Amino acid sequence: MGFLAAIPSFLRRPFSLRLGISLCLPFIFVSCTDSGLWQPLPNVSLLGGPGRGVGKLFQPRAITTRNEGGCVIIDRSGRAQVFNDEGQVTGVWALPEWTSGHPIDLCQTPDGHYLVADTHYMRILEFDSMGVEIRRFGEGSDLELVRGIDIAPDGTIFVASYGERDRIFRFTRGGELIGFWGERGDGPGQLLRPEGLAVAPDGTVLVVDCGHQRVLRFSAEGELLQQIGGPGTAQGEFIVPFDVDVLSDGKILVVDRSGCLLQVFTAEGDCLAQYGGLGRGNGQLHEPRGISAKMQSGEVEIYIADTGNNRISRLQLSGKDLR
Amino acid sequence: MTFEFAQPSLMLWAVPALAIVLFLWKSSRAATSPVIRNSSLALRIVAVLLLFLGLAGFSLESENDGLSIVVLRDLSESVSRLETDAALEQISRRLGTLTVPDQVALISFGAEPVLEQGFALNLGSGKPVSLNQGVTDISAAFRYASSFLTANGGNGGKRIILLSDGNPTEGDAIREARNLAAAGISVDVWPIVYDRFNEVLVESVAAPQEVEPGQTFEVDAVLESTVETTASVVLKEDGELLSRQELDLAVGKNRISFPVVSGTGQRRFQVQIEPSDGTDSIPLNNAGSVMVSSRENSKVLIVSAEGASPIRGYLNGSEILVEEQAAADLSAVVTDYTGYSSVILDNVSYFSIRKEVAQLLEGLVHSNGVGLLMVGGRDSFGAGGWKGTPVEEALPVTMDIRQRKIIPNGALAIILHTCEFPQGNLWARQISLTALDALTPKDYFGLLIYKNGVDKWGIPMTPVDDKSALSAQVNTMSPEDMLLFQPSMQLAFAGLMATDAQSRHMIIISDGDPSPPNQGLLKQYADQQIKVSTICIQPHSGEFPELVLRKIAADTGGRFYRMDDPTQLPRIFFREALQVRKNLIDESTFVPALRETADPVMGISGFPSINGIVLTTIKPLASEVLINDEEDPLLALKRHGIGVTAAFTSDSGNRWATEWAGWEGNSKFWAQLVRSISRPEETDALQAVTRVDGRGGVILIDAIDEAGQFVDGLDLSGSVLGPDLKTKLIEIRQDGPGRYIGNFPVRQQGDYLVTIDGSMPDGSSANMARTFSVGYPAEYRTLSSDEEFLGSIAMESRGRVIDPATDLLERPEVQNSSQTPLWPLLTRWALVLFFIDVVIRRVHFGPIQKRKTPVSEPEIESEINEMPKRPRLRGRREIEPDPSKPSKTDSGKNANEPEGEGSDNLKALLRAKNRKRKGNPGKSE
Repeated sequence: MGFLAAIPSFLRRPFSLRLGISLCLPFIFVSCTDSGLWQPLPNVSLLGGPGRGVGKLFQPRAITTRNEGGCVIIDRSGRAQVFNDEGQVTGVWALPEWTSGHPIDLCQTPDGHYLVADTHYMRILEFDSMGVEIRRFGEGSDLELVRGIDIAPDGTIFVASYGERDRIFRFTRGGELIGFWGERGDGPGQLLRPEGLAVAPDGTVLVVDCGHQRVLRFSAEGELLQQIGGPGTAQGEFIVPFDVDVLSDGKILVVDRSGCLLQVFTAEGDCLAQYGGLGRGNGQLHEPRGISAKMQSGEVEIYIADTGNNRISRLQLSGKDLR
Repeated sequence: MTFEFAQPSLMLWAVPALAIVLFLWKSSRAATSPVIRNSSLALRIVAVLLLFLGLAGFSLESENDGLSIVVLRDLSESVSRLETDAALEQISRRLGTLTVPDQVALISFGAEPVLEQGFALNLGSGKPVSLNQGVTDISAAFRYASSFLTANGGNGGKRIILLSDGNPTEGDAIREARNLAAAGISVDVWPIVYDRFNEVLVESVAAPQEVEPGQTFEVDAVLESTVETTASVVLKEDGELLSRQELDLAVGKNRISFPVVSGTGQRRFQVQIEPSDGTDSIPLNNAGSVMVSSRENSKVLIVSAEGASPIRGYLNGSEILVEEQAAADLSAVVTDYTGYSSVILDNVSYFSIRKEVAQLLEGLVHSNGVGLLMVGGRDSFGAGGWKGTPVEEALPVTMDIRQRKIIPNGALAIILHTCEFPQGNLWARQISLTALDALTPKDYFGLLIYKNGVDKWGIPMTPVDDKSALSAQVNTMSPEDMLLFQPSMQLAFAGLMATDAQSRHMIIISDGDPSPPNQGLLKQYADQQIKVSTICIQPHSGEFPELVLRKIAADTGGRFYRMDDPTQLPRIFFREALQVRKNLIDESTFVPALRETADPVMGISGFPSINGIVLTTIKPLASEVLINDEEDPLLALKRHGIGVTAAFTSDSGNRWATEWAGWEGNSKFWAQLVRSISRPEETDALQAVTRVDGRGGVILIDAIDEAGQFVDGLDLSGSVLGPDLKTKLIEIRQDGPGRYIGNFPVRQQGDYLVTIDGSMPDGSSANMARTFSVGYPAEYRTLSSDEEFLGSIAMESRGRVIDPATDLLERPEVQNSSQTPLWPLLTRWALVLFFIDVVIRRVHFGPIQKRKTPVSEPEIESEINEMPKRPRLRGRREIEPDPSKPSKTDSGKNANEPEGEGSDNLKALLRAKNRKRKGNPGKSE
């Protein structure tokens, strides 16, 4: 009975106890239903929301963080919208064409330009920081449906492509084809529908091997270095991994489209945490298809294109969350 | 920020509701502490107030000064693209870069609106769009812009900027402008001003519509010019030059005539003007045409796969004029059928004709009285894919077959991957239902989808014995974007092989971007003779999507289809689904039995045996004339609209009705059958001409009886079958002695068929048909912009005519405000409070104390005495103690205990309980 003594006396009185518990019950109920009993994304704030107005999103997919803070997102209304740190829209620009389909990924170059994987037009578009198209390349280079795109520290542009063949293309910063590597198959290092792609600070390339439900790390020349995850629903496994990003300390972030999860891995491939869960509530995800993150002063800011919820989930993780 | 009530009067009802709450509280006899009772009352009062606030529509109103602008750009042919582009650029410059929450979008329109740019902070130049530029429908563009603004425009001001010449050819733009004003959307207009100084056009071409063979008649043309010039005018027949005249054109209307000698059949004459250089700006309106028919007996059109049917031979000697055509050559132009009184489809597959032809045939029967006969064969009726078509609607039989001992069965699996094109899932469901409809209860049906990251059976392979249940299942499905073909194709293979079906088939519909299956799986399909037909619907760019689907079809022996128009999908699906159906044909031999006497069998007493039919089911109002041993229809007739249709489910003598070919009654039977469905010859009592004027089409009818007197008071009905193959009714009214007139809309370029039906005072039929052609869309008739009309739009919608001084970003006078309804929140909190109320009154949270030993009566009484006294109810009737029963004082047990009504009653109950426990209920102590 010792624990009863620890309860303040007014709570031990029947009426106070009844009132207290009854007040708490609805909130417990609401929070349980809202979170779906999964661990939701921590410290999350939402940007966008369904619609086609400025600041609204229609099935957003391609997302990247900006060097100057905030993010750029492209949705299925054929627009790129620039959100600043405060979550306000500071710019909107339209893609030149989007009748055949919409981009899957984009990245920002160190000089502030944006490289857009114009998936269904099988090319790369380069926009300046104001959204003015300044170049397009990759047409005629045998690119098929282009998926993930990222730029390496040395300026090499890596692009995942699938179609008749599943390959990773390399271009110079100027848009000239260097070559490609990768092949379709079920063996180690072989690909089946590569989706997201991210270049790690050490220059290695992480590719989401969507069909095999895993993430593969390759050297810049295409040598398989590491395999992360695999099919399954346990922590560290994937249902449909879709996009990947790498932090400056090497940690790997993966969004699972069907699992509706964000999973955080160490550079060695150990799963540190998973967040999210299917739902519409804060901290939940619905068919997330894009992720981009950056680390500053030990704090990690993550933007997830929460496609099914027509919004961006922005969250912050501290260093201790990722230990 | 202010608060608003939608229905403040409802708050008055809160007063009686609170009175009831108070009454119930006071009359409550529950033994609870005063704290709980008072808290409960407070909670209930607050909850009731919250509920009534919600019911009264309590909402939070906040003003929003954001402005959402939709620029509507008229891209119809009458407007110069250069001028609209320049106007767009000027608007873009004047708007500059907006700041949130202002936003601007761009929609272009002609016949239909197309979104070029979603809401952004700058107005761009748009993207390449394809739309029908031959029509201007401002009203449709207004409706689209209104819904776009309402859905995406936020809560602030909403404005449309209309760039147009103000010459709509369709719709009621003024009415829509009023609707916009009511919705808080104003229209600012930017007139695209022009006045065509150099324009020559053919306004109309006229000729007698019916002439006697060999008669000389004139083809008249009215030409309009905005400039004095010379022009060369030519008359052509089917592209061949007949005559040429040089003409000096004055400003305004000019008339020219060409004499022509009539021939036979139907002839189309074209008048074309070639103005002098520099005097014309729109070449498309330089031609017009007219059709002229010679009076002669109408004919029967026999259509067969090769254009050679034995029915033609059967009709020899019957004085019925016959023409033959191959199915593939069948025209979809309405005026090409004016010379035919009936059409016979002899073993013609639905898939061998154009889709529009089926609709046209139905329209010709229904509105024009043309007869239609379908003759069976392996490619006819249900076996020919006619189920669900307009022709089936017209025929006396349906393509369904009733339950009977027919085998073999088939199995059909469908893989749906559709969600990437607009309304993809809706189409997916529709085509799945179409395929399902093609199957019989003996067949198997299964549907695979990709959902939540898993390829799975949406409908596991199952017999189609309950189509409605399966349809309900189909209607709840929403497949997602599939990643790989391999898993679903593996599942489908296993599912198909697990059935006992005699034939197995699979259909894949996709935009082609899932990764292809491996070769081994495709070989398994080929080895088991399971054909996989693939439909590539609106694929993304590049060759890959199509290649994958082509390969799957090629490797398994299936068909590949490339589709950009989803409306074609049901037809293809039906055709593919028929692959598993070999059971529509019954090749047993029988002697036809007469069920109902009708004109086709009049005077015929016996029929030779027949070796097969296509199975169908008779419709309720049809006449079933001949049947087989199992009472399936062989010959049936039915009236459809003003025409008659017939179905002969056996063939014309090639395979099943071979004995009929040598039968003496064969010619009589076919001649009587054709005559019984054919359209009656036209009456001479009606004379009519059709023409097109600025308001649409007009038909003028003169009714004169044999004595040459005007016939008044006729009840005539009319209909027009247009190039879109849709029938529209025409209201015919009397306009003078013996003169009747009817008006109808003419919106499309092409040929029109007008049919008049009625009866003369003597009961004889009064029917006729006339044709006319519209050479070019009304869009090309406009010679100047209509600023007055645009001004009316601005005025009706409370907008402005934009001039250089107009501030495009000026806030509307009536600023929109956003209302946030609070009823969901209020209701939620009311429920929470009710919940708390119930919990604090009813739930005991403390430890439950069990009495280990029986409690003595004094102890209980002492407990009862400690209980608070229950409030006395107002108006409660005092119960007089019954002197015959022992009272509290009678017992003499505790004379000093405090007096109280509540304690008295409780103690009496307690004593009664004790007596019962001691087994002596009848006695007091």
